[in-house]
This record gives sequence, structure tokens and C-alpha cells, in this order.
Amino acid sequence: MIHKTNYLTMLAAALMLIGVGANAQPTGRDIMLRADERPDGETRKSVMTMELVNKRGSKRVRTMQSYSLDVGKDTKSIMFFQEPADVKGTGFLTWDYNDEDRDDDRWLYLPAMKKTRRISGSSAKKEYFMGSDFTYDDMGNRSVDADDHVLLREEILDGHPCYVIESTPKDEDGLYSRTVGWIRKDNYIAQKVMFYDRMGTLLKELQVEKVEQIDGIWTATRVSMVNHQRNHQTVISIVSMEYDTPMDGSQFTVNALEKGYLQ
Amino acid sequence: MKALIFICSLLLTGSVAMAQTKDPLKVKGFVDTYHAARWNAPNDFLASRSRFRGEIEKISGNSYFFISMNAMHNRVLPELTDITFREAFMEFTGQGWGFKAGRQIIIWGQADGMKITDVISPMDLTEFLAQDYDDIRMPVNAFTVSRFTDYWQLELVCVPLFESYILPGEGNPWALDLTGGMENVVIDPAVEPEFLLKNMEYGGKLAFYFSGIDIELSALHTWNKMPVYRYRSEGEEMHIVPEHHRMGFVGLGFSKSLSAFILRGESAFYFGKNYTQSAEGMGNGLPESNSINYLLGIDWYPGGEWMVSGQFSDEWILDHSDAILNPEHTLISTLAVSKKLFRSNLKLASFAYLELKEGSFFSRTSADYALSDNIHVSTGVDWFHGDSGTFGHYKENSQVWVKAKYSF
Repeated sequence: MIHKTNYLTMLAAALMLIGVGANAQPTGRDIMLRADERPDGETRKSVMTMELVNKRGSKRVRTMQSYSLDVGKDTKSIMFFQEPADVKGTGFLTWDYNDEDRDDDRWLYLPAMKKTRRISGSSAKKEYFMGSDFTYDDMGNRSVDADDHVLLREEILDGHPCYVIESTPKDEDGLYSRTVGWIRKDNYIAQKVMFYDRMGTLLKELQVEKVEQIDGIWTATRVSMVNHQRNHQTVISIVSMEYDTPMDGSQFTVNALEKGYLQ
Repeated sequence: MKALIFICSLLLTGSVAMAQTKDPLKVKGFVDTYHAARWNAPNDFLASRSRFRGEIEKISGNSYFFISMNAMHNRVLPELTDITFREAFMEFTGQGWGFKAGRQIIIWGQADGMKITDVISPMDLTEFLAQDYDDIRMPVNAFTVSRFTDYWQLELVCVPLFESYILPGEGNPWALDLTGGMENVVIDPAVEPEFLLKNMEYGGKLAFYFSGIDIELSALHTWNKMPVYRYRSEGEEMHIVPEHHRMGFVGLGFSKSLSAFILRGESAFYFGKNYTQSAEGMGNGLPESNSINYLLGIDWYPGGEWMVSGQFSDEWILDHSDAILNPEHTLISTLAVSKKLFRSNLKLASFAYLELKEGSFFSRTSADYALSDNIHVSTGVDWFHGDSGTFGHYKENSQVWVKAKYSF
């Protein structure tokens, strides 16, 4: 069975209390599976802001409303841009498949053109999302088995006992040669992730700045991603988050994408 | 006065929107200014206009309305300085069905910048194709009813009253001289369908959204909204009569994802389409024939915020005769390339149409920079080349342009 994880939902979700055997040392893959299988609700409705800060300190802000629904191991999601004004109404509809051999289905709606077009589900993953420091892959689902995971050590970070996991992508065409993540032992949230480019040089650093319980689910509500090579930073803040609000698959349609709202 | 009322009403609406807490009215829009000059002598301005677009929308549960208005000042074509409604429609979405009524833009098909089945909303060719494509599309008064699930969507459309393309008129640098410079040639008023129930346009589209592929079936009983021309002599005068006639089509389209590529296709079989007469056909009625329009396209997303796209299309007139001015095959290709730089703040793009048999082309190449989250500045070149074909006619209209846009 193939399992999925992602850096953002890893941060935006919480711990399922699957006890790690007190005596048995889990493998890197075991830990990433547990992080992946944390409960994050069957549905999620959120408003988030994305603050882009350049090396001169000037800021640009994007605000998005997003909805997602788990359909078995797959996920359907729809996202509408609320800010800035020039992209307001732009929407993405994604059917994200757990099977790593199957390309995701993605549609983009551009309100100025009043037109929906199917876009590539595979190559988009390596693109940076709307000028931010997060790629689509950073923000979406990624199969646990898309990487090889090694438990390097255990250490305390920001006062939290963590597993330190090195993950090496199996895909040699990926953006990263490896990532190193600090996974909190208490809730399996990644407190920090270091991303190394294909040359092995540190590219980006993700840091969780705030974690809260929302509807009983641990949620990272403020996350920063610093690009050390470009001296640029993106901060994602969750403005509102609701779990398990009633939604069904028939709402995640091209029709909804074009209307710009979910009924 | 009209402008003052327009601005005040939008400002008032904005105030109301802020005052409301539940289901507020939302106000958005933009101010833009666009100026284009011919790059050859005499370097005269072909466009100089500034515009305010106001848009108001409100969602109340299952119900929604949207209004957009333009207030424009046009220096080159002062008759276009005006305040006009663009769209005004209401929408209801129930469980798996909905309807939309009012002035709206309806877009069908998989093609970019080409019209195979996308013929419901006419085109505003006041500045030919040398403007943003979203400015070229015209809304129509229409009713649409839709039924949808996760994987398919049926849309039934009815357009009660006919609306034709807007063509550049006298004094417009984009106007074509239909008289060919000859004396005693008169352009008659266009023959358009009467506003009768029997003349309404109707049809439907059934789209399927499967894993990896979208499929679209369509059928429409419509009119040729771009006029065709009939020639008749009256005494010593030659009269050119623009005419609109009934036609219909059944269409099929698809969009298929293949790793970093998207393959697109669209085709339509047109029944009883009328064509402009050739010299051989003069004195007879307008020639009528069936035709097949088809298009194949490929989009490539190589990464690094590049996008490359190519399309090939053919309008193939079946049972072609010498009485038809158009060739048996009208072959047009398009090529589009775009690249975003500096964290998507700078977009370089080029879109070109190529008339393959005539060897003429039109390309619009632009650079757009997001100065802030609200302001975009852009500049570009529209290049027409060729000695024949549609684009060759405009070879003296190649232009450079600048544009600034504030969105709110």
C-alpha cells in the first residue's frame, strides 16, 4: 500500500495516538507513515494568507479560501484566490490520487478569460506556487514511498523531543536532493524541515511558528519557509480552519470552480 | 452626469458592502489605460483609451448575482467614449442543477484564440485581434440551465435575440475597405434576423471530466454572427450586402493529460453554412455548404514557469465550388510561449497566428510586470506580416503599445 504525506498538511494536521512501541526503535518510514496517518478530518475548510517577503523586506500578500475532501486514500480539493485583486477569482481544482503512478487531475480557472483549462498534473508539482517559496508539491500530497527515509537521530528542538529524518527522493529529476525533517514525538508535526538542492546545498528551511488545537486536531497555524539562496521568505498563516464540515464529492466540480464558490 | 452617477453608485455600493456583515456585496474591478502607435510612419496612434471597470457581486446561499460595467474614454474612436453594461446576470445553484439568466459570456470548447464550437458569444473586432482576448469576447443575453455531478455537466443554452460581431467602422484604422477602392460600390445595411421567437439560438453541451481526460459533446442551432457578403448590381452601382444566416453544428472535443503535456482537440460538423460569394458566384444566391472545422493542440509545461503551446486548425468546406470565395481548406496555426520570472512578477508572453497557405501571420508579444499587488504595467509589439490573407491586410497596422492596470 502506498501512503502519502506532505509538508504542509503535516503541519496543518495532528497526531493520531498510535503508540510507538516504547522499546522498539521505529524506522524512518514508520515515523513518516505515522505523520501521514494523523487525523486531519475527513474534510477541511480554511482561509489562509500567504505573505511573500523579499530581501528588501517588501511584502506581497495572497489570500486563499480552500476546501478539501478525503475520498478513500485520494483527496479532492478546490482553492479560490481572494487576494490580490488581479488574481481574485482564480481557482484550482485538484483531484489528488494516492497512487504515485497516476498523475493528478488539475484544472485552472482564469476569471478574466472566463475559461477553465486542464493543466498538467505532474510537471506543476515542481513549480513554485504563485511566486511563493512553496512548490505545489510542498503544499500538496506526496507519497511516503516517493522518498527513502532514514532515522538519523533523536534530539530536542525548540523544547520538543523530535525524530530527525532524512528523506531522499527516488525521482532523480526532483527539485531536492534530500530533505531533513524534525518530527515532533508528541504530535508527529514536522517542527522544521531543511530542503537541499540537487547540488546538495541548503535551499530552503521550513519552520513551524505556531501550533494550535482546532476542533480537537493539532494544526500548524503559522509556518514560514525561508529560501536561503534567494534571500526570500514566505509565511503562511491560517486565518480560519474548520474540520469535518459536511461536504461531498459532487461539490468538487468544474462547475463550482467556474462559479468561484462551493455550495 | 452619467459618469458621476455611475461612480457614485459604485462608491455607495462599496459603502454598503463594508457596512454589511452577512453576505456582503463585493465590489471589484480595475482602471486601465492603453495606448498603441503604428511603428511605421506616420507613427500615428491606433488606440488611446482609458477605462474604469466596476464589478459587483453577491452570494446569498444558493443565489448569486454579478454586474460589470465599463466607463471608457476613447481618444482615437471618440464614439466609443461611453458607459456601458457588460455583464448582468443572476444564478441559482441547487443540488446538482442550476440556472443562469442575463447578460453573460458563454465559452465552449478546448481551443485557445480560435473558434471551432465557441461561437455563442460574438467577438468585438473594433481593434481586430490587437487587444486582450477577454476584451474581444462579447456577452449575450442568454438563459442557461445546467445539470451536473462529479464527472459530467450538461448545459442547455438559449439566446433569444441575435447579436452579431462588432466590426470596425468608418474612420477606424482597423476597418477593411470592402470596396477594393472601386467607385460606385455601396455597402448596404446588414441583413439580420428579426427579433422573433423562431430566430432564437439554442443548443447544449455535455462535458465529461474523467481521470486524465475531459470530453465535450455539443450541438447548436445558431447563426453566422460574422457576416458573409452577397454582391448585387443595381444600375451602375455594385452593392455589397452583409448577411447573417442560419447554421448549425454538432461538435466533439477533448483534453487529455499526458505527463507534462496536455493534448487538446476540437471538431465540429457545420450544416448549411453560407459563405461569401466569389466573382464567379455573383448574380446567384449565397453559396451554402457543409463544413468540418477541426483543431489539434498541444500544451507543454516543461517546468520553470514555462508554457509552450501549439495548435493547428482547418476549416474544410465540403463540396467546395468556385462560387465560394473562401478556399476549400483554411489552415491556421497558433504558437504560444510564456515564461514567468522574478517570482512570477514578470511575465513574458507571445501568441502568434499563422495563415499557413498565405504565409502571413500576426503575433502579439508582451512583457507584463506586477509593480505591486494592485498595479501591472505592460508593453508589447503587435506584428502583422504577409502580402495576403487576413493578417496580411493589416501589415501597415503593426504597432507598439503600453498599458497600465490598477486592480481593486
